[in-house]
Amino acid sequence: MTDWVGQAYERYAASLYRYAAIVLADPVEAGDVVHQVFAALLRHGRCDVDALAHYLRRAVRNECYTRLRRRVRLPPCDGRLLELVAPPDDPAVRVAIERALGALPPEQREVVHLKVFEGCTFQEIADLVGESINTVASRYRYALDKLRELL
Amino acid sequence: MTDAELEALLGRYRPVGPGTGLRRRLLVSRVTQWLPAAVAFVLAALLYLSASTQRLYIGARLPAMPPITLAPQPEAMQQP
Repeated sequence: MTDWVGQAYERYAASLYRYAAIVLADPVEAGDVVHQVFAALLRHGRCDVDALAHYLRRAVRNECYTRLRRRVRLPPCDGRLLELVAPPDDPAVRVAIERALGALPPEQREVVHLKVFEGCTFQEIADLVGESINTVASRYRYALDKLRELL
Repeated sequence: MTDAELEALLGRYRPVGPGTGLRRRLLVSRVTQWLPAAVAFVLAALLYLSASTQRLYIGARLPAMPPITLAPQPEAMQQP
């Protein structure tokens, strides 16, 4: 893949995959979502790679929530959800964080991901998810409270 | 645990990235996207070649026909 789809994949796929993995709490299904979005992009035809960021994020988000609505129950998170970026590594802590994140509602996981892992501001998150900044901040507050309780 | 400590703890990790399998899947889907069209083209080309070969084969086996000459019609000859 050396053409525009390859460029789009190189630039956005990893970030989109991480986002989907956290929202769905399932790395395997996150792969399906990202694949589906890029396959749709291929069918759509040539696009300006620089202008795709917002479109792809929206498409992945919509697909994630569509799949979440169809879910009967939350699947057990068998796959590893997190990887270490700053030592020291403690597998028990990592597993505890993964379980705690998995126990949060998807909307709260999404806000935690965008705030903590992607470093977005509440305003940026509010723009992305289409909610007010107060709603987003509340979700983050509830998520931190629950994580603190679970860890 | 304060918010800052919790954020620092979370910040030591990040979500796992996609494996190489995802890229391969996309590549395969790109190929399969054009597969029906490619198969249809190959079938059409094979059919055309087969028909051309048959035409040449039949043409080669038929005996050469004598040239056709048009005889004048009797009605045309009777007119003044």
